[in-house]
Amino acid sequence: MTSSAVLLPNVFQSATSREEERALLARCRAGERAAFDALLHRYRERVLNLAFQLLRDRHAAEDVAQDVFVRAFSKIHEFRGEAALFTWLYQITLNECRAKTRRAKTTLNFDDCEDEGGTGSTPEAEAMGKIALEGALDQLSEPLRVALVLRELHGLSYEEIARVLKLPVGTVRSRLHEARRQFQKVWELE
Amino acid sequence: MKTKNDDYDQLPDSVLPDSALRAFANYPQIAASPDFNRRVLERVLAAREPSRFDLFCDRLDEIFARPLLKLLGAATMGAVVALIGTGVLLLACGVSTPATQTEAPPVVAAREPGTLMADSLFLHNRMAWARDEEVPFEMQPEYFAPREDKFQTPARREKSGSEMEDKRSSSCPAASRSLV
Repeated sequence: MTSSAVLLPNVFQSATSREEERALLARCRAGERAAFDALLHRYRERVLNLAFQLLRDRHAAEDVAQDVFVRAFSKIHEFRGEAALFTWLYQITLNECRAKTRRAKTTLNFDDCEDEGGTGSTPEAEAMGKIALEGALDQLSEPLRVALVLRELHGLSYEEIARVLKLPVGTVRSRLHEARRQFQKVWELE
Repeated sequence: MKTKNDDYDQLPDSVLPDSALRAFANYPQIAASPDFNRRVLERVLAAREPSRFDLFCDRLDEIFARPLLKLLGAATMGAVVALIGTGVLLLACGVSTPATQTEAPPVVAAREPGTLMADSLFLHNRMAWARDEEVPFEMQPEYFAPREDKFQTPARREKSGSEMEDKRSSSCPAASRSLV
């Protein structure tokens, strides 16, 4: 397990990368396997980690990530390309995570994360910080937690979060404000 | 006009404490398993693989795309449609018109033939007898008179039968025993 800066490529979202993405999508629609592979390579870590941050279970997250890509590739013809592909993938991921939680009532699982280890200079402090962070996030309601995760862990802009959650930007802003307020309160207590 | 969202837009970007920001920044990320892509692509290909029913339909399409079979198929379909149409029409007619009330055939009671019939039979028998015996047949006036004894009603026949039986039993006791 590594920190996000190492693993996650910055795909959000220069004009060049948008052009590349369109070309990849066109090749995917034509059924080109290499294009599927390239898109997977581009987005799989993002999708996997979002699922992991919401489910806190590595195996469940991997299953969800696979389901997301299978669903996305099966319905690639329905993607109109008006928004960036990752917003669509994030929408599917959130839906899959909700469905998974409903089905399995996934419980928190810290063991997987600790087994893999971190890259920080003080692993013990990092592990403590992780546990505290997850504890504080757990105190938030699901909409607030999702908004905060998308903003702080995935670095999405307000507009991008609004697109993923299909909400007005103002609502996203208010949710984040409230999420930060509640998070801070819990964080200071811990 | 000021909306609720405008109020939200005025909210300041609240900032989290440094320790929380550090925790977010250092939050560990997981890497996908090495065979992640392969498994996903296998599932995608499996999902795209046509089902057996689709293959069957494709095969049918292929067969009926040939000119002669196309014609035969169209003719068969036409016949089937015509048959179904006729059936439906007949069924509709049968349902819409009430069944005609059929009377039970009248029970014809066994009646004794009329006098006229009995007379003509009598005459016919007499004429046939005369022809067979080669004797001249002469019409007698009593032939035309109503003769009740010329024909026996069932009641009379029964009566006469019992009389005959009585006579038989009196004349021949063995015969009457055998009848019993």
